[in-house]
Amino acid sequence: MTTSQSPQAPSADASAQPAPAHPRTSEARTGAQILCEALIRQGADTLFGIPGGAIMPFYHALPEYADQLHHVLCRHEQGAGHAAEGYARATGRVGVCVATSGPGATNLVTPIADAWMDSTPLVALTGQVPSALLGTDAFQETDIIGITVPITKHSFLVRNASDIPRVVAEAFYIASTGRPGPVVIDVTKDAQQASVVPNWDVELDLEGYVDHRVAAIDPAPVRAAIELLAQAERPLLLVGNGIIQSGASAELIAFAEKTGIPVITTLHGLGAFPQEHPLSLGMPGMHGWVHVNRAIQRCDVLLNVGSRFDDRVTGKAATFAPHAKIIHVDVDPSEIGKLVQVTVGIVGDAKAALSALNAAVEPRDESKNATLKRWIDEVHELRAKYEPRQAYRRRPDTPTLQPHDVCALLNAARQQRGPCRIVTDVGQHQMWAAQLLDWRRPRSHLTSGGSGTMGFAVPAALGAAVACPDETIWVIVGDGGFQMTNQEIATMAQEGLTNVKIAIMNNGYLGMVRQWQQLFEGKRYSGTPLSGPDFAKLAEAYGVRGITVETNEEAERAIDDAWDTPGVVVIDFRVEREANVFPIVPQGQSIGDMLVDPTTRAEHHEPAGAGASKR
Amino acid sequence: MTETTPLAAPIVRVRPAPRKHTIVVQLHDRPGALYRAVGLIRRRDWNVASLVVGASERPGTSRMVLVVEAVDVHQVLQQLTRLVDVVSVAEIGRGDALVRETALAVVEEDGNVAEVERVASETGARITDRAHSRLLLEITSSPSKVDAFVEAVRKFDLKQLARTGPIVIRESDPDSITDDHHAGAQPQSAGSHSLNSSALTPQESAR
Repeated sequence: MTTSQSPQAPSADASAQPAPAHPRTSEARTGAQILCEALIRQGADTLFGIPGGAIMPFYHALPEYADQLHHVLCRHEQGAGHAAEGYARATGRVGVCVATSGPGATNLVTPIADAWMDSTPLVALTGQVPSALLGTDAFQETDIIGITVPITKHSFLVRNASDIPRVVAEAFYIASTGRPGPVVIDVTKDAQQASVVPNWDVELDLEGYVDHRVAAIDPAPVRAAIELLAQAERPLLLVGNGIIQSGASAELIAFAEKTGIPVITTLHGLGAFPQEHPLSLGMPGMHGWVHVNRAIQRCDVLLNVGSRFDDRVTGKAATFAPHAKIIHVDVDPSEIGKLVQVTVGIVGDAKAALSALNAAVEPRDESKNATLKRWIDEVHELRAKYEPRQAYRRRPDTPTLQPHDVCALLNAARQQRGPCRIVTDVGQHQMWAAQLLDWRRPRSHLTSGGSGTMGFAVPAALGAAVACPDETIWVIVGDGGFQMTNQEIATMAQEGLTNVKIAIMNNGYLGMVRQWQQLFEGKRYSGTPLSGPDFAKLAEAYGVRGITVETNEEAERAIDDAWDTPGVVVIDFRVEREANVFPIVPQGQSIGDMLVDPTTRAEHHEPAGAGASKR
Repeated sequence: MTETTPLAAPIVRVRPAPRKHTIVVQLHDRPGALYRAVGLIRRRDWNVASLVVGASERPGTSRMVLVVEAVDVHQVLQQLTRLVDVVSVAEIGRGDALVRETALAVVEEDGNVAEVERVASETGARITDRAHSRLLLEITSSPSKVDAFVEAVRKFDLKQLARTGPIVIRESDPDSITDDHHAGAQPQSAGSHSLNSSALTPQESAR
């Protein structure tokens, strides 16, 4: 039985790839050597990993391929996994991490889960005990495939060296096509050691796998979508990670401009649509802006391209966009109708779908313009009333450094410097950065979204810095997340990286949890007060520069200093301890009911009748 | 804020109650394939009422028949389709497939052999073996008839009972499984069913 995607499926020896370093096609060599060559054939150039017993044959082969495969020795496998994610998210290519069996492999579980939730193309290569010992509870034997089944697109146990060319090609194909995601390749030690003549000319055997990016967009739902949009008086575009993954920003801008529909951008969509664009409204959801969430609750047609109605975006799903007919474009058919019922679903790649929509949509006429203008004016009025960044303006009554000031200073400095990417961790600082920095470019904002993995930022920045040596990579991280994975600064130092600058928003708390405790649990700060080392001294101990900052003036100077320092810099911003992220939608509630900063405004509830509908 | 424009009536979205659905999955005989499929059902919080796996007409693949309790069977089908080792997925509606289940029961006769024989004959079961005072009853029939059989033998001194769960084959279209796969490969509007619509019950197609 043949399948519809077979013609597109490349053979293991993708012809576009450069010739391998060791074109000894007829010579037998070890599985480990074949593994290296297979990775090179797939376009891999960097691996993040840590060796160990079961993966030693692979490490033995690596130096022969050092000119094409750069191995970055991380300090913890979790760091290696997040670094591979950072590499993938910055470049759009498959990130590769390597670990040994047992604890090495289980330490990869968190980044694999993170890549699964955020659809990051990742190949995790793990050593496994010799096949004769499989299932015997051998030393460092862990069923990593069994453990990762729920959080991988697919996985392979390789017991024969001759399977390696096909398996590696399939793994990269699965990880990078359709909705991207993580794939595990678990290779037994004897398969790495066995000597065979590799056959690179093998077909992928993926009958059950469908890459929905390559299929043509069905014209029927596109027509239905255009019809709905034509009738809409208050249309809204919601865009996410899918735009960035498929490189559809140009098509998105063209569609928004042609139709005049305002655009809201999820956390993972930041940068997909330039924030300074007049049609850009900002971020929705739990910490989205009031005017954005109000726009969702008011709109009559919502076109979602490449985001998945995560509960942090929708709040209580039953009360989400109560007046809207919803059009959902997603490359993964299972996302359509999963959480929110849709009127029209379009399966396909965001770029292809937006091209089809662009081709089908009529330019708007005068009457349409007037209607749209009323709608956009209405949202802009709300924006003026709840001016997002205004709410964070410096309070003259406090001398303490505000986290918002740090974000504003970073944002200002960024305008004057060259290309830069920002990696954020998880928590309050992540939301401040998302809210207060200008996001103009796809892949300039890297964060852990779906999984919410604290400890993501420092290693992910390592990966991004290796992938983009000519750009400055700024890390914004809390003192909690920083203490989870800061060991990777040692990796940066060993690699001689100079382009990572780490801004710690140090408030001495696990701040987001503390904020919830303050707002919803009567200020019972259970398990959230947090001490730490002197981060500047810690940086120096790692052999990089450390700066401590307590005032605005020092902050400005430190940011400039960091930018000018040819090396990794850690800045410890001692910020206001109990600053909060506002607005906030309490978990499980309607996004129509937001709490805004009580020191500046009263709570914001929607007027009765707007979002109070019961479903 | 006061409302400046009147709003249309809110769109009411209601989730129906869970129902039983029979799903046929053809999957490759590869290590972990079954584990993946069953694990998926568990972690998505659906309930498996029965599960039967065995050979299919095609070497290298198995046919798995699942009876699942779920609110959104479309989501079950879609999630199973995502698995790389799954070749095809279809829901079987009533009336378009042959559904068979086998049950075996051991009954201790208590001077009422005639009564057991009568029940066997009424429910369509056979008495396959008699040893000492025990009778082995066997039935292969539709699930509802097997239900009736099980209920009937419970009136006796039932020593053992085993039943398989349903297996299914579609009589109408022997190539239907292949068609399902191709239908899945061609994205459609989510308004219609992304998998083979003919495999669905009318309620599901209309949803």
